[in-house]
Amino acid sequence: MLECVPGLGVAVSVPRVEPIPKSAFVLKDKRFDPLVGVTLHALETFAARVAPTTPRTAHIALTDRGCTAHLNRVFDSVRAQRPRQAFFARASNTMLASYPAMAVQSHGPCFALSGSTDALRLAFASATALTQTRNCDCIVLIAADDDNTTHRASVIAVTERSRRLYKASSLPDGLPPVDLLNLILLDSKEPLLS
Amino acid sequence: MNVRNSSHDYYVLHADALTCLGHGDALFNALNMGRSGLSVASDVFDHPAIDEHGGHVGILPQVTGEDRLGQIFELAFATIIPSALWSCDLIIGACSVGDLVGDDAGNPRAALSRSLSRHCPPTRLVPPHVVVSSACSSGTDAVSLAAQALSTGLASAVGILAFDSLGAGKLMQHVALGTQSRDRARPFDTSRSGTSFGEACACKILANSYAATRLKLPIMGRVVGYGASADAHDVTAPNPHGTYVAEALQRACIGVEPGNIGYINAHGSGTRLNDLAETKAIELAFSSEAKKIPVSSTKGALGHTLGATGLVEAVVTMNALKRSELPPVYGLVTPDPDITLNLLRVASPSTKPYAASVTLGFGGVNSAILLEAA
Repeated sequence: MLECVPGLGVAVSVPRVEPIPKSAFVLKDKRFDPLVGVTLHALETFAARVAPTTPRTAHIALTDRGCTAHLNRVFDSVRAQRPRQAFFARASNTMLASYPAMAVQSHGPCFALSGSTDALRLAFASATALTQTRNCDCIVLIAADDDNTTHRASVIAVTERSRRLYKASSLPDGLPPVDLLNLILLDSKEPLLS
Repeated sequence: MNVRNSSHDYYVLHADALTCLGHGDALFNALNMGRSGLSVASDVFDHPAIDEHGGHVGILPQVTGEDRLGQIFELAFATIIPSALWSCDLIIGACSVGDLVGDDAGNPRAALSRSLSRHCPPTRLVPPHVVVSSACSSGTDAVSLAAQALSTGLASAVGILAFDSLGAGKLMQHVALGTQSRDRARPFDTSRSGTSFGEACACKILANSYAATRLKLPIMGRVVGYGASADAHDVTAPNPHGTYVAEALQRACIGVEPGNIGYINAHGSGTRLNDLAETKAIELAFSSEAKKIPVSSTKGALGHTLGATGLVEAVVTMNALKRSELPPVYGLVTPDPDITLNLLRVASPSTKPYAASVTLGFGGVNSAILLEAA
């Protein structure tokens, strides 16, 4: 399912039993975690329908558990004492920001944060500081997590509008960041377009 | 350095690291005496894939088994983490993947939360805490994020805890990836063949002038600037031209004359690709001054401590400035002629007020910070 708030952001969810939608990004390395695949799908829609990214965009990923599919393979490999190095190299949370940067060929800062509302708060503060210090010229927040049945990813542009919505939102602590971003999208009271 | 009342002052009140070479003065003395804390991997781990190919590792000798982060935090709270941590408004953790077994496998924030709850005094509350993950740049990014939290007024004092563990399972993955040297990390050496992974925990406290007074800790120095960039090139290999690492360095050093930078703690992982790319980056960033600035990497002595490495090296850099003594490159026997940097072969006096620390992470994440002595 894909929902878009024009000028603000995109929310995507894909049942885990379904194939991950392919994006048109040209990536030489496609061995990413399925959650990264869903993130790229969300990012592609974001770039087409919300705001194009620039070569100096910062990608800040927010996640609770990260790339669980790859991590589970790594855990299995440790138990079996047989390395699965391709999954290991692509299992860390940062891949949720690095692959988007590679996909859009953007060279701004990229990193991942975990920590529910505290992480979101720090992400918005970081966005302010990174812009002021000219480390980037725009910032995209990417929240992604799997639950038992679904891969979910949301992408939001950090703008005056999203900051206003964030400040006005009552965001309960403890929720995965993707739920927090979706609450911001819902609070926009704009119609969600599919 | 005067203590100014400014929201753009990021004072370093505490900087220490628990490593295979110890912590505190013992660590910095050993580094400057040219010692290494690395061990032969097959002496430490009993694993068929590690026997022949494991090289050297920088593990904490008191830590056993595969479920390691809890033990590492126990040691860290007993040695390098001051009680002032509980007076911070925010704690920023930094880690890549963490343990690969146990209740908190692959979930470093859960491991941090558990340890903070365990060690928090009963009269205090655990401060809000997040974890930044940017592979090998996690620790450096944590320092940048702390400065950003201070500059935007999100916090007045930030505790930074970078940590990561190296069990046999994780080492096995790196052996298979080809990043772990079968020998040992020899940064910038002609015969370098990869890095030597390790584990560590590092702690820094950053504060603005108000909190620096409140916490009553002496000021060691200041974070002057930070920079970050992405190569957008490859998942494991750096951009060979060093273009975006140079950008991160330039951003961190804005407003400071290169002639006043007295040291660069390089990522210097000892892989063929990293050391060359980093050399080009330093040359791009500092032009004619690049060949003069003293450079070393401490990975030959401490190992590449994964998500902790950026903060371990920021701690080393801060203490190098404080002690006015710069650590040498351990493991460097024959410098690669293509690496035209001013590599430190022995500990050297520090004569300039500023020093930079730079890290390059998997996924092409580049981060740099600039520090100033008090």
